[in-house]
Amino acid sequence: MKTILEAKALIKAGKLSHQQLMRECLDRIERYNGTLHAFIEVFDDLEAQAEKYDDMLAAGKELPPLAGIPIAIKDNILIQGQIASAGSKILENYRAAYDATVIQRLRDAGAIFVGRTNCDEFAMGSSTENSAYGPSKNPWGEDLVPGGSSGGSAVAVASGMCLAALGSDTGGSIRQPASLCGIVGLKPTYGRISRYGLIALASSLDQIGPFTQSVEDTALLLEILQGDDPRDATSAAGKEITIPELMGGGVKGLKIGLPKEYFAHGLDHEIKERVMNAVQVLKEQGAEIVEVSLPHTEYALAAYYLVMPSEASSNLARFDGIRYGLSEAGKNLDELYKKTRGQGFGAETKRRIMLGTYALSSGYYDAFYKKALQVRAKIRQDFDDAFDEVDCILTPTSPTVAWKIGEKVDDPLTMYLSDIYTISVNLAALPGISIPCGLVNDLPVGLQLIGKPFDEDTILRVAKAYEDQTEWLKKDPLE
Amino acid sequence: MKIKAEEVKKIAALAKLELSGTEIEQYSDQLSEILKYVDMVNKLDLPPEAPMMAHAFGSLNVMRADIVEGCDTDTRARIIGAFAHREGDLLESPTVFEDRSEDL
Repeated sequence: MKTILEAKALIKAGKLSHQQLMRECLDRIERYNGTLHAFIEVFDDLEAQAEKYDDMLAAGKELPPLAGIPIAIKDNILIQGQIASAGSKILENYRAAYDATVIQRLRDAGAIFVGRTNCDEFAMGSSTENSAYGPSKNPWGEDLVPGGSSGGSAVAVASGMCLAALGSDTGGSIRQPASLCGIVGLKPTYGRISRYGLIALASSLDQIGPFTQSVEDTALLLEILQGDDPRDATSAAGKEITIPELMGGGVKGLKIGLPKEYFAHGLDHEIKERVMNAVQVLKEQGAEIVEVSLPHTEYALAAYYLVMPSEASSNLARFDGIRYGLSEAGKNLDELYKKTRGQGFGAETKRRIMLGTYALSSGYYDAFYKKALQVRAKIRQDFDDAFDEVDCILTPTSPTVAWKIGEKVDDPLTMYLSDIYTISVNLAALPGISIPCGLVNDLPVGLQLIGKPFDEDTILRVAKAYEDQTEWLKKDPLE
Repeated sequence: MKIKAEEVKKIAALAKLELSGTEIEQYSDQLSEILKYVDMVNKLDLPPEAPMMAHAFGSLNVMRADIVEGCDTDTRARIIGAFAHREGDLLESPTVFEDRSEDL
């Protein structure tokens, strides 16, 4: 398996063609997608698209930065003319009328879209088991979940079916599957990347981000994807940075905080040990390790499961059977709505719509939604206080390694708890990255680095410094 | 905090969801369990005027010039093509308002 930078170097040296690179990915897809179900759909004409770049190269033309790089796209990001189902039956036949901004940016950079990857319905889940099209399987063990909701994207990258993938992260949906599949996954600062063309789950929490086989590839993609977009009022102007130049800095003199609440009860002792080994590596590289406190951590998951469903219940009101998507017949408008939504949405989606509707309904708003927003402000304040002391924060990404398919599916609350280390980052609108830091029972463990707002460069720098000292990313689960 | 079947039905009606009898039963149990957990936010003693964070940028309005942007023919065709029901290029839906012409 190759990283983007390795493939680019081989192509530049004349040792690999764009067509060969695409063929390698297609071979892996043909071999493994039937079992692993990373893709819901693999697109046509991929080799012909790759050939175009070989021709350009032969003609001595300058190639764009991602020329011919095979990239997979989560099924909730719009690619003009392709189906975008968000893992739901309600959008099974919906074809996107326009490109998401991230798709336009990758297109301009020369990337080739390999296909659309499986995910939990409307990105609601931690295992891909909520997909209307069946679960994806973890390449480290076919009976295991890959994590979610962007599980298909994580599997596609971890099994070499593409060189990178896009996912979306509302409460951990990039970082947690990256952790469970042993690759790199970044949730950028809220506003760093335009959400235009992302099928919305919770608009104040959602961010698009990349999955890659190396930290440098993540930096490269972030540089291409980032930036202000007039079509997303929450995208941030004037925050762009040139990331690769900042990558070689090392960690000498950096202060890294370990929040004591994240290492307390509930954390598997073997996972803790792997994460602490990584801390030791960073210490040896010259980082200063400091204990910090994020005192409102214990309230984060509760606040999240009020804010997210409240926003989701509003966002998903658009699926009404009128303008697009599934439409069931009804005696009148009300019945058409209820039948379409009752039959088109899966169990978890309905559960969250109900939860959000309840939290926002008259009489409960103050006790639930308003209170959750107050807790959210406290959580952000905790991080701001911690960042007065340290440059970034280090935690585990997931409290466990990958679990068996079916194990948590009937117990929503236990499933929700699998996001305990990632959701605060979304609530506080911060950047977070997961990188592999070892194995427990032969399954990957991820560590999470959390940065100050719009300070992706520090977490990428720390991640790169750690990656340079270890071999975890070089492991191929299928060999 | 037990969410009874009647309450589930009321929420489902607000959310425009048709649910089966089995679903109503399941959601009654599951929502009760989840709400018991999320009620933890009320264990934190905060004054009613404590600051809220609804959004990353402090919920400030983002303003832009009011410029009409056209939609190209192909995009328009794709949007119309996605309509569940249509008459020509017009979106068709069941009657929104009931016929009350006799009241007039």
